[in-house]
Amino acid sequence: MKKFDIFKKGIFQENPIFVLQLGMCSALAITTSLTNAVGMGIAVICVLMMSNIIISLLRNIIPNEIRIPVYIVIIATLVKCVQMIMNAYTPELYNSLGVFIPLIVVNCIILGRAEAFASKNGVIDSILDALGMGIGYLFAVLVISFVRQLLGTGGISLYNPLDATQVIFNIELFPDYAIGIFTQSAGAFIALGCILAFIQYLKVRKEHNAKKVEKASVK
Amino acid sequence: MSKIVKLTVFLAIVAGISGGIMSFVYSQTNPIIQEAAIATVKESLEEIYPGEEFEEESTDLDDYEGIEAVYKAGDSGYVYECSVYGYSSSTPITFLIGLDNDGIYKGYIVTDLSGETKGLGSQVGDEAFVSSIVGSDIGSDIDTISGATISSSAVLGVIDNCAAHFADNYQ
Repeated sequence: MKKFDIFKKGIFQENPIFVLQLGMCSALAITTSLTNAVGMGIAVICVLMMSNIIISLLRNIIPNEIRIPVYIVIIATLVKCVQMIMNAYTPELYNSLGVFIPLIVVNCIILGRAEAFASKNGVIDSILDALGMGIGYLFAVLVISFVRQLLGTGGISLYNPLDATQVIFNIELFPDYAIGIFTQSAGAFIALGCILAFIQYLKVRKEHNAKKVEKASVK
Repeated sequence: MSKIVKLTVFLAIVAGISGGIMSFVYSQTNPIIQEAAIATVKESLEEIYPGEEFEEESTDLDDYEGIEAVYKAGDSGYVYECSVYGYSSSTPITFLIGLDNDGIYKGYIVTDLSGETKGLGSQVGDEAFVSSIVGSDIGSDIDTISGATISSSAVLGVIDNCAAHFADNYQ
């Protein structure tokens, strides 16, 4: 597989949330605002990169029988360190992401990529895979947050996740007509379901068009 | 048998290294987290004990209703962060009360009085009430404010709990 393809597949073709459907709990829970999505996305990219690098470096010495416990210890250590660092240096983001930071340990994306890719490939490839998957996750949560925040609060805003006082933009469009349920869990499911349905529609249409082209060229 | 031993040892080594790394990160980040936790209260703490270093005490507060946290003020004494419902049943009165090593109330600062009736319950933050507390020792009887019985007796009740905790732990 060419290097760039390894990176690219994580963003669209094998997007962890929209296609592989891993890490859904965090995607549903934290997508209440763009700021949270950016913050969580950055945290996931960092953890995914470090875990892929470490597991790829150690892949030849980790005995096969205990590989899962070893991966989990490594991932848990990384996440705990990230949690402590976030608590110390970015307390507002830490408070808004809350319990979902330690839950990155059981985010299936991390363990999934460790098992499916990093344990079988070199460090450079693992870095590219982690970057691609991480950016794919970030893209997915941004899309879901955008929908939920726009419909749920009638506006869209982005603050610097690392410094809660810095406003990047804050646009109020229709606060009086906001559909409150989208800020809550039920609305998260509804929004995600509709987005997945739309993506499926795009996929089916693409396959349909590809078939049409094939039929036309055969004739 | 030897295979199981090898696997166990490997896992133990991995866990050990992981523990070591986490201890290191903890030692670096914990001071910052502690600082941030008391930063919000720090301004008021420094009004009571200017120039002191503050550290939150970990102590059992289950038997002492109304006390949210205890801070050690260097070697000078302690400050209790308190929260009690006065007249309002939705917004508590929050205040800080400092006790020095001789058991004398060093300072009393009200940080949230918004739930109390202005002119009545809000008197728990007034100069007269403050001066009746600051300077007295933990044994003395402090009068409630007439016209603000509920708010002042709630505050004094918690101050008594602080005195009890102080007597039980630091005297």
